[in-house]
Amino acid sequence: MSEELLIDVMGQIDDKYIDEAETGYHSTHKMGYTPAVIAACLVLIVGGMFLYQKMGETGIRRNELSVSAAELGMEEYLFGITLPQIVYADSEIAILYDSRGIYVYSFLEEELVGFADFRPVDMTCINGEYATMVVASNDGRYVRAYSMPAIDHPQRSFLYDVAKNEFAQVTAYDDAEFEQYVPDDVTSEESITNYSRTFRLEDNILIGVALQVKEDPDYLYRYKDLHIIRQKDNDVKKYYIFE
Amino acid sequence: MEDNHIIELYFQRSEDALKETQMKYGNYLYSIAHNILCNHEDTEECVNDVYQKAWESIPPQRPTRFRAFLGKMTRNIALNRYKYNSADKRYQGITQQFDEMDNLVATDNQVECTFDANELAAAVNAFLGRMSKRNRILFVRRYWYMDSIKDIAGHMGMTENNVKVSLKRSRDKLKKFLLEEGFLYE
Repeated sequence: MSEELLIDVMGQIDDKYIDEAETGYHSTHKMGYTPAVIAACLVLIVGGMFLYQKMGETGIRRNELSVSAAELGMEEYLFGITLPQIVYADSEIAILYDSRGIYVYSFLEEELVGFADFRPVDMTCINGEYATMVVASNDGRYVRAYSMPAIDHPQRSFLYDVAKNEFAQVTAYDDAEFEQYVPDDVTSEESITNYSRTFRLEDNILIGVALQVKEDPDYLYRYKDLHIIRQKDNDVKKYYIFE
Repeated sequence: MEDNHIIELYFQRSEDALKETQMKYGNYLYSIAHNILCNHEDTEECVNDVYQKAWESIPPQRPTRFRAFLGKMTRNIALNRYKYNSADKRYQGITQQFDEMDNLVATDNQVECTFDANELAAAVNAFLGRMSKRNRILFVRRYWYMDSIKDIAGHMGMTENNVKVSLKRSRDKLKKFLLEEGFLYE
């Protein structure tokens, strides 16, 4: 018997195990809360409230920099397969990423206010063994993008400063200044879109990304068709990121 | 859109079927193929092949679990492409999974035996049915979805070392099971 045969035979396993590994997988870490995790979350919440209060006192949130979709040349780009995913959201901004880079959208200004480009630094692989992993800090100020280490494929780390709109390679991350943002994923209970996971923000605001479906069956979907949905109670608002 | 509505579109030969399939399962299929191929262009081609094959298969087929149906197609097409191209070392994506399975089937003084691959598949299904749900998800994510150890650890809230240890134990149990069932000899 060869290892190849076993890998092939795994392809014939019962459909229910394939579904289970997909649905159970994405909810497992939600079910696996331990007292230590809950305590850590409380620390993050208290820390986040403290930081938010500090930012309010100083009036410093983000600069006025704005980036237009046209400037990025994104609005008419056709979609591949992977839609941008939200890695951070609050009442003011949402941070998304896909294989092209990291996008920062301002709900206040209703436009893109930042972009980090993965293409010049060869970080566009976002799935698989050498994937670029993207995580945001719990105050939305920094986003880490790093490749997975592997044989013949050294790990590379980048840091995106949201306020400065600066994306740079770093030799190491300073963990003391970074607490990872963990969204409240409520997809299984209150999904508001078929195109992404649904997260709950403060004040019971639900958020996700979606596409504006067209009547024309031959229509090829573009970035400008992508929007963020924010729903509070029955009030639904769409934000077109790349228009 | 519900799966049965999408399948109905296939039966009506409406091209909306493909659009809805892409909308609902495009990311899922992409991630399966990309885990195996780790190459954007090849992955896109593979997923497009899946849409074409789904279009040709439905009807007459009417899958009861549409997601798994598409996922299996994607995995098969991606693996075939991987095998076809791996001779020139273009892909590194799943060499680790092959190595791990190689260790499973390697036995001292092993005697090759002949059997139907369907029988082996039935045995593997029986083995999966005996596993705990958590270990089964780990095993299927690693050897069906071909996820990296790091990804699995992140999703399951485990350390990478814990994932490796759990997978090693599961492989050892599978090896013991296959020995007992006569698929392996020592």
